[in-house]
Amino acid sequence: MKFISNITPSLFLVALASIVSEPQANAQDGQASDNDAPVGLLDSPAMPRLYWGQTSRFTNAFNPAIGLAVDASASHLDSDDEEGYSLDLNLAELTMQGPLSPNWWGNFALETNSEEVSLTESALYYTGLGERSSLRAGKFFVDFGKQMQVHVHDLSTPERPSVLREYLGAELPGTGVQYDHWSPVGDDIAFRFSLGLFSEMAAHDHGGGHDAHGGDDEHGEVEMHIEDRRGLGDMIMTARATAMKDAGTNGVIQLGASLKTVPDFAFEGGGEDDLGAEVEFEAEGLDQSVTGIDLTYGWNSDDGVKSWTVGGEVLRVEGDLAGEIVNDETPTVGLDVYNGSAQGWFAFVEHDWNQQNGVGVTVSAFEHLEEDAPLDTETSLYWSHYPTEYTRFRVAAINRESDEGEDSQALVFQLTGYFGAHGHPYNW
Amino acid sequence: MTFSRSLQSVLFAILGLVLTGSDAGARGIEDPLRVVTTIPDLADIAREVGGDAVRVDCIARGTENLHSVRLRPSHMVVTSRADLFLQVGLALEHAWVPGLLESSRNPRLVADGPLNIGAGWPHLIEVPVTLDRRAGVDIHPLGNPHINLHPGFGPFAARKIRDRLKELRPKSSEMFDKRCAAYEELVLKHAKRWGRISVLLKGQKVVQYHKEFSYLCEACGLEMCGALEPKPGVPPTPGHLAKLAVKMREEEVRVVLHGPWTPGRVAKDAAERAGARAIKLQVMTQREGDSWIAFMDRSHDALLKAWELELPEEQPAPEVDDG
Repeated sequence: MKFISNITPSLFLVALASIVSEPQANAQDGQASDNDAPVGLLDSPAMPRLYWGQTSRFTNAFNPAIGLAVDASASHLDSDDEEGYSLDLNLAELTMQGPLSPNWWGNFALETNSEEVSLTESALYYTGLGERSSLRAGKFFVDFGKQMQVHVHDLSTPERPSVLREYLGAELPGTGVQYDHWSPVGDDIAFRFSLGLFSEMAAHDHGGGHDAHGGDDEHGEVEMHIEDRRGLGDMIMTARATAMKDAGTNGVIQLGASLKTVPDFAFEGGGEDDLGAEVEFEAEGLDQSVTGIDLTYGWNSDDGVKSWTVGGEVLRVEGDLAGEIVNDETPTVGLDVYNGSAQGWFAFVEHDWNQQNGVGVTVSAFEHLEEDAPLDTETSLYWSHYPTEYTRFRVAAINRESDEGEDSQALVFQLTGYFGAHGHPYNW
Repeated sequence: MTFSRSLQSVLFAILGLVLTGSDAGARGIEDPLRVVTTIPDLADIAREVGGDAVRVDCIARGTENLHSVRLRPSHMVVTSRADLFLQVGLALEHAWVPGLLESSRNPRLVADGPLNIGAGWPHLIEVPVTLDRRAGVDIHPLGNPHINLHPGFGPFAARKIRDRLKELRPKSSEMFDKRCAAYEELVLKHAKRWGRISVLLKGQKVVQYHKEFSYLCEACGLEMCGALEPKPGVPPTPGHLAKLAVKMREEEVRVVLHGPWTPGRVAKDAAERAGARAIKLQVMTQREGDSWIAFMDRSHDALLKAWELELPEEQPAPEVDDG
């Protein structure tokens, strides 16, 4: 650009002409030299055909994007059970993702909260099926509602709404396959559906010490058990259909319906009989389903900086909901299975008034998966501040009220940082 | 299980409807090529070059921070139907274009990818020496990507678009050549005036909020004395603004430039503190009823006005006696 420093109108035009001359070689198209691969595998007829030529070129040129997220919090909890401060590493998450070839890509997420390590995502995605379709296989977050695909640390709240934690889990990765397709309807509606089949789906907590409710499938000493091998019809199934439409010049509205069915599982538990001997119980041939309807409206200003988002989801769970070891002073100890239904919902309003700051309120209520279905209500107020897009500081106040009398109040300070690339394959 | 079975039936019914009535979109070979562009500047230039042979849709309005454009269902729909997707590239739109292309699942775009207009741009500035987040969070490894504010962008982009349109529709090559040449000629006419304005502005000192006007400043000979952001993408801090105000007074900086998406009040306060004035400039062509040439005209005029300068009437060229 020095060419323009001694400007006269004629020189300016000459300079302009130099810019508009035929484009030069693409600076982004540089080719790595073969010498960049310092080692390689011997490809010989005497060797097993493990790889083709390209996979044995040991360079970093085609590596996936690697990122690390760290999420920590300091909280104060005041409940009937416990009270006090806690400093927690909610998670350190290692992620990788990238394309394998034009029609394939994959991602991987491993997280730890300093107590346990869990693989939350490891999946391959195929996009060569045809227009707007994709197939994924491996371990990935289930496509249920607007929120369950999003990792907790990426939510705008410190915790997932209590109804989702109770009915689905804090996070719900499943191992299986999922088909996904979307279609345009007219010029401003996108319709999408997905169908998933899973052999395994285990909810897990996200760490942090302020979740008084957990969120897994355990009910006391009773656990849900699913056989490793079973018929295709007995696989866990998920389905979601959703439509998203432009609403005016600056808004988007989305409506969705989701389903998760577990057609064949057992409740297993153990206890002691009147003689003090260990006994094990199992109730087989059980089934359960969760359905949900979600509605979201989002608006953003012309400059893309300010935004409002309003939404909510209603969930219903039906079938064999819970198992309980019953020892009612009789000579026999038994396993009671509660068959029935329960409902819950959450709603939220969020507002970002600039790129660095946003506030929100979420209210969630649900009926416990028990005979009397006591009601639990949770209200969260939160403010998120982004010093930069790689760092987030959040303050949240959470109030819980329960028909069972287990009320609690929590104040949470949360700090999240991202190193390198960060992202998960969320669908809309 | 009655409720869930009903919902299951509804889901499968919807699925059937979609599969049987999907958007096949049968198109004739003479239908206009569907072009989608990230910014209105490229949409305008594509229309100029493509004429009736193209139908152009644009994603950005022209008022946003280009690093964080919010996408809508209609954007997915047009992208899924596109024959050609144009972006500036140079990591200008990298926060949202890969997600849009991935979600739209348009096999034509998977095969060819977007056309990166910025690839091969010969005069990149502000190319980082090292890639380190301590140098800022809005770091562009290939250099400052806001090349649409350079006077040479129009013709440069027009030629790249022309070449791709010729590949996609060889039958119309002659028309694309003619329209591209006519457009370049039109730009050069306006560039003559921009050159005269730059003579007046040369040597004036300026501060930007975010370094998105660097190409325009360089082309106009303005001397850039810093930015309100202490590092690219990092919001202004009180300490940095205090130091910058002292520097601006010492160096007699009279103008602070900021875009439509940056906080105008911060720019105004910082400018007043240093005895300067804040000027809001557009960072790209507007989507409705605007052209890249008109945008560049307005940008140059706004700079003239910022320094309270007037462009003298152009003297007619002396007649040449060829006898």
